[in-house]
Amino acid sequence: MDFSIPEEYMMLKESMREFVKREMMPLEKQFLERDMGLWTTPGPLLPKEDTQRLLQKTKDLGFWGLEVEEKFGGQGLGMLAKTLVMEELSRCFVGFSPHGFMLPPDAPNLYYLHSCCTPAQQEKYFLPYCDNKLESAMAVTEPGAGSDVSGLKTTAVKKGDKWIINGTKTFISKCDKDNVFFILIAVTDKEAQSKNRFTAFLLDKNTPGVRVGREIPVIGAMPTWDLILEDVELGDDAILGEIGKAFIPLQNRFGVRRIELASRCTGMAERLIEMMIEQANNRVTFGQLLAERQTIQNWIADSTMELESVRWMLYYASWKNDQGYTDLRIEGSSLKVMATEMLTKIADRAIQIHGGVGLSKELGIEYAARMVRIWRILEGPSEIHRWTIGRTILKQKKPYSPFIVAKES
Amino acid sequence: MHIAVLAKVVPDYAVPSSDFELVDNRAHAKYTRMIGLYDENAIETGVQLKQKYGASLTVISYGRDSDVPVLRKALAMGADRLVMIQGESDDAYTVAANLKLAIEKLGNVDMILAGQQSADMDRGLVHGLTAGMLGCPFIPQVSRISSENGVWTVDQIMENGVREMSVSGKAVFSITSVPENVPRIPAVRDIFGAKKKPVEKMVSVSGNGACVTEISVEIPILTSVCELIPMDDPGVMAQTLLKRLREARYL
Repeated sequence: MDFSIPEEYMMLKESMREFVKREMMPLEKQFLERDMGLWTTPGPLLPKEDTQRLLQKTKDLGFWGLEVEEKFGGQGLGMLAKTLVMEELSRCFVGFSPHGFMLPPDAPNLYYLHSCCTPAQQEKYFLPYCDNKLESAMAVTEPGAGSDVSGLKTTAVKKGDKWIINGTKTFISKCDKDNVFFILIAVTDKEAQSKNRFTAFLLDKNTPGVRVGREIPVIGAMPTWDLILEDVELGDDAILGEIGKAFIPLQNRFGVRRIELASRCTGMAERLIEMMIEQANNRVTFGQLLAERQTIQNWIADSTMELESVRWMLYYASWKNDQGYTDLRIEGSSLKVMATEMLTKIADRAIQIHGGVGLSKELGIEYAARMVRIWRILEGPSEIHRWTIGRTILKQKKPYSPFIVAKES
Repeated sequence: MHIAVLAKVVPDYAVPSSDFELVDNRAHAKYTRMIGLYDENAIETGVQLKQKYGASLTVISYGRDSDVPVLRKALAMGADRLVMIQGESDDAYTVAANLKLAIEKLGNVDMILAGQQSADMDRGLVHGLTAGMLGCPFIPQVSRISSENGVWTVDQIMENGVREMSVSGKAVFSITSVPENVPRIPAVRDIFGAKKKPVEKMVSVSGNGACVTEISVEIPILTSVCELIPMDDPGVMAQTLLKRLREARYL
């Protein structure tokens, strides 16, 4: 087993580290201040001109679409390269938060769209999406249905050659963007089994009958809205994939999405441990450095052990993806739970070690703590993931095997 | 035009000197190795000149084989090839003698750039010695270079200003750090292109060395003494602060 990092990957990591140091760290203070006013003054967390500048510079440096195949305008470097870069990006609060700065395109959605789009849909949605001209958002959740989609009530009823859609979606992101389209999930056959009951539609925000409702204030930066659909008319050309088969192509999207989320957590965890080390080595209480106290030493040790156990699982899953394994459901679910719970613990210790300042909005640790609390629910709560892992392993009637024999070279 | 840049790989210069651990008077092997701070400014200057004048750019380094992956960053920044002289000496005369041989072997070098001092020993000796051995002019602390009809015009940063000079023929310039030569961040495609660029390895010669023997190397322990000035009266506080700063000759 070879655990050495290829020289190019190390240089890639260092390039992003330098970029973050030069271009993103100076934005942190303003970013954290802006977060405080989010609910009184809605809008993006990062000024538009800063976002544009970061987009242009990262595009020039070739950081867009690292894991996206070259035929879609990406670099074709794979998931491990992306993971290493994401970790560096996430050491800064601006890069850690998906509402700060993100490297386009959003690959999980890109591959989902690619696997389902018809040629006409490719032209209208997929190609502009690859070029960051369009944004996409999933519109699945409803007031009565979250992880358990069997409770979805939004209906799409065929009348003549049109589908008439009625329902209310909630916790839908990006509703403030002008160039967004939604991947909407609606019931097309009430009587069918759940695997044949739902269909995905591509829905433009400006379609008549689509109304963006109230923004939902939550614990941290998760701007989401209610989305109300009243007699929205769509043709067959809006159907994404097959009628009744909305969720099958989504499985792979979720696997990769969870790997990316985990890299945000490991990147930020490393930053927080750095802050803890700095504090422990400088703060004196009752005549002794914090670093000399057993409790503090334990926090540093536990945080390091927890981070590294997640990080190597993360590199493994990314590598496995690059070897062509697309079914990463166990790895994706495991990482989602491990990474978010790891960062929750480390962020809490980081606050504790800093005392009152740890709670302050200036330092940003509380921002990370609130963000990761969101992530223990978003993209499937931890309990659902544990259920998925447990159920799969019990069904297989044998323990999980991580071993992949090296290919003949 | 052929430009050569001299670069040295050094132990992590971001580590505070008070934390530095020495073994046999040199940095412990555990420190991450990187291209010297000013050497990166010199490489950046070289890349800019390459782009401006269509020059070819060679990076020359004296050190260990294991420094090659570190030096490949210079290739990712835009250098065309790397010459690695394999040697372990820390003697400035020996290093300069080897660099001179490498430059002569390249044959057609028009200009040699180097960081103003290394980031580990901070001696600032090797470039000047190399120029002496090559028998060509040496201008230290250069911030800007341009070329017209075979004549270099350079800006030299002095303590209180800038001196403009011209020099013709082969010359060695030591490069200082200015906002214009902040090292570029290598782009993704250049990182992956760097490994395809040639790396030539040379065996070093022992050289005569200087008649200087190193007896010991010590890192001074820095202590900070903090004086708290009472804040009862802002006027008195400001006066006291100014007095202290004048006494310490900061003002």
